[in-house]
Amino acid sequence: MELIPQLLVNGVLYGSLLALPAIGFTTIFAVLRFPNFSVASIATLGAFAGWVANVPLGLPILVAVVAAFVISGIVGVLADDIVLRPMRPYGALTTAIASIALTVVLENMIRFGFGNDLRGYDLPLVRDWRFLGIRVGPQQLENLVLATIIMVLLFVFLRYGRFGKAMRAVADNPQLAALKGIPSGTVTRLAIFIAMGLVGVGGILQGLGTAIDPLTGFRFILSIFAAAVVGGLGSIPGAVLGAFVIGIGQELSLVILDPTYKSAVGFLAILVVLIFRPEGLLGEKRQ
Amino acid sequence: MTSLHVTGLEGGYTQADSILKGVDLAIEPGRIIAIIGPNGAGKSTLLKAVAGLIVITAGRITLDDVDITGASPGRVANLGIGFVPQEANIFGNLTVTENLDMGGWTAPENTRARIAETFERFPVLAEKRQQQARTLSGGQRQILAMAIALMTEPKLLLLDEPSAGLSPKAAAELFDTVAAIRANGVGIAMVEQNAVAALERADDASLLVDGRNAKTGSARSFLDDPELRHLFLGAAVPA
Repeated sequence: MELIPQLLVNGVLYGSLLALPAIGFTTIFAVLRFPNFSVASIATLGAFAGWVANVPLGLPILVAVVAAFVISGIVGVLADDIVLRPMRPYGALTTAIASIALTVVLENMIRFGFGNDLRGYDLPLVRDWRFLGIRVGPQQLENLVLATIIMVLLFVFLRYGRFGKAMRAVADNPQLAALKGIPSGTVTRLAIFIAMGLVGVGGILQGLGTAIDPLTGFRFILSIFAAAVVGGLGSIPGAVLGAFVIGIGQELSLVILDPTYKSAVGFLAILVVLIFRPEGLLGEKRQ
Repeated sequence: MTSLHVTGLEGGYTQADSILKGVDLAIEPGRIIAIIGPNGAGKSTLLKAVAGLIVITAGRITLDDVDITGASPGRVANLGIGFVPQEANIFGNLTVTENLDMGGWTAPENTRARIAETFERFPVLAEKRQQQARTLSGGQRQILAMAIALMTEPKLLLLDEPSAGLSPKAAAELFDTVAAIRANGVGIAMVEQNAVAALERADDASLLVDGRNAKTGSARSFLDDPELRHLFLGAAVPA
């Protein structure tokens, strides 16, 4: 009887982890109009940047999260400037394919630097908490709180910040933004920095619950992509909603599916959305 | 008081394009110049060239004797030239207030006061201030587009088909707004499909045909020209 509530809670917790990289992915799509699949390796990079801060350097987890954000953001901007920006004149498909190549290169650079071994963070061993028969790990709850705080801060920045509004303006109508003197290059770089920073934080939060290796990000790129598509590519509230739909969907699928096939939920969700509502749950219909 | 002069302008959307083939234009302070002509004559392209959106291959654009030929859209905006494109002239997903805020990007210190003034001037926008711009009617969108352009108190305004898609009542209100802006000393260049309505409100006019000036003069002289009336203005022209 406790299985379904437990799976729902697990789904919400997983959805909150998925939401940050999904926001990053959809933000880049909103501003640059191409799916940037290098988020897979940027998530891994964030996880490793956080690990370096936490384990070899002995810094607290919160500092490690900040390190993951900053390093992922910087590498994301540099990778875009060096690899993806020159590709953009050739179209969205070419740039998306280049982003797949980029993610393979970055992943192998991480592999070269850190090897293939699983690595864990320096966290105290604690017992799970039980509420009404439902088991929740304290670390999972901390991740949920942290992800929520970051999402609220992002919302405040986009809604009230001068550059946050400029980011939305550039995403909405780049030509008009240029006509109004909004520095679209700077705003685009800022958008990429924040988006990739969030992806990196998603990577470390994912690793805190388990362990990390060079394929950490690659393992949840499908779920990130599915969350963004389900919510509506380019819609930040959509990405959050999509993340929870995918998270809860994947956990509930365990009632009827072997865990090996959990990721099929992402494929299925993409398929269903593209057939019945191609613009996604909160996306806009394109003319 | 600022004026803009375009001399022998050639250009198009790419280096190989030649939509404009030596166009001249003068926008004087406190005057409206109507730019009319058949489809494909290069009317909108001319405004886009001044706004910095077109590849210019020959000719000059000067703003009070400062050469601004080939300047970026941001620099053109900074110099006090406001451009209202025909389409995609608002930020649809931003609220009305946020649209105005972005319109004042180059003069952030005055933005709050300018938004308050804009709401006084256009009460219809004040009523919808927290609504997403894409939910506005066609007429309200055009008013918002113009209000966005006015946020930086431009010295010159370029309007590309401002009445396109509007009801006659909304178009008349919009032209009244344009006349009120002119009264503040702003020079206005207006490309308009409704040539008669534009000429009735304009001081000067220029007829473009195939990327060249076919005739330039007072708006009244255009309305009084029987040949122009026959070719471009239709039958319903007041004598």
